[in-house]
Amino acid sequence: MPTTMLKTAVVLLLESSLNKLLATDSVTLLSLAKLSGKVIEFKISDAPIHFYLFPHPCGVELQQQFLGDSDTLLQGPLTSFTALLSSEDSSAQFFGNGISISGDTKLAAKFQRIIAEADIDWQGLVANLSGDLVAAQLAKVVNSTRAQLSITTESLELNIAEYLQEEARTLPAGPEVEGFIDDVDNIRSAVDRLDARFTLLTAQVSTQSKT
Amino acid sequence: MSPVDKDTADFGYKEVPKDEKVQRVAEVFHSVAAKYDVMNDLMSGGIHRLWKKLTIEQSGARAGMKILDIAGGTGDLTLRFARIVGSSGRVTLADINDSMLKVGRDKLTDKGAVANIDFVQANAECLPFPDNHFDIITIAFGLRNVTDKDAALRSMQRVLKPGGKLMVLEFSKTDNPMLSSVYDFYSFNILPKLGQLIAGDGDSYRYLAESIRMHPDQETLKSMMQAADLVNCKYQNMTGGVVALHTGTKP
Repeated sequence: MPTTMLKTAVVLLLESSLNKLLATDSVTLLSLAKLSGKVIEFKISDAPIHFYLFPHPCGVELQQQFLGDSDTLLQGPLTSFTALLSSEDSSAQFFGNGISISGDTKLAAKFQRIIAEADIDWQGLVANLSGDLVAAQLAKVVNSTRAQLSITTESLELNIAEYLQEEARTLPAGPEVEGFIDDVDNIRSAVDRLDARFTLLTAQVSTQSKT
Repeated sequence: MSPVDKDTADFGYKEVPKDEKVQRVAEVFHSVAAKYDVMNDLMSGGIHRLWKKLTIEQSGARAGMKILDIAGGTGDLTLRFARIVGSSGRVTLADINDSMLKVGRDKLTDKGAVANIDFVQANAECLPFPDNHFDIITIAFGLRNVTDKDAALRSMQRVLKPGGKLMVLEFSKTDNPMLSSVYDFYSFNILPKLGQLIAGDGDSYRYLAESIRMHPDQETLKSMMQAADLVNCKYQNMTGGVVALHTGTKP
């Protein structure tokens, strides 16, 4: 019994977190409302996770036991289900990729579309489930990884530039290019001045020859 | 005199005339209705949600069913049932107390659950529904407040469809002496003070604690259900028997 109570507590927590997220996504709620009355069963083959999902207009109801038959059963390893949630393009990751479907396949397809189109912050779900402290730690790790990544990218760019300029001598260094551009500018100015002087002298010569 | 024939009923530890019990229970719930949900969470540490969720899971509710939630109070079970049965099903929330019914109706309306729910003020002893009408009937934390429990069980059996299921979720007797003494201390020393502090009504919560002690134990309630012509009667203890879920089927 204590295990059942504990599992029920986890199901309740997951359900309320999911529904909080879904409450912010009215388009998904509309799609879920259309599946109202259906029962989707999830069975994770390599973990003791087995639950039933009842879509309704305000979100989903989760149950760990159901005395009737579900409309569709989705079964597969945990990695396939997590890949589905973390993938950018959910439709590419969904059924047929380790997840087997039995029962109403049309319902499964409709559910697939809802997941693929849902604008849901799954990381927010983790925060709701794990609590702020763990979520903050996770965010810290993610942020520092991101910062480290940007430093690495910058340093890689510098290294490549240096190799091309100093080692391979394929490209000139920045100051060299600037000096060259300055020289070109000076020559252009000199030519312009010469051109102006030539025009002036030509004008003076033509005036003197008339007089 | 057998319990069926007596003119008095227990109101907590007191014996009061039957008519007076109805009135006094009504007063208790008028008094606590507004703070009922907060108090439930506080009193049980939120565990009442688990007890109710387990009840829903074991009910076998599915789309299209007709469900009656007696003493449904603030609608915790009704809300979940309404979402499961969908637009083709129907849930009836019945409560004898109009204050509780109003709180429940407002709460469900706020949560957008209105389309497939009926609200009925009714006495569990004489339910105003046709025979063989409901697939599932639940009464959660309500039976101990009913004056004539046998009449209530017979009335529920009447409105159940053959094959339909009655589920009684109610406080019961713990079989662990240590848990019992902790539970007793909590019920009679802490609970009334919490009631006084939060709902401004210590007496009502003292009554709740006493009424739990006066409620029939697991085996007695099971035999009462069998006496009301229900079959496959069984019970499941939760939290060491603090609460028990009894189920029975109409033959």
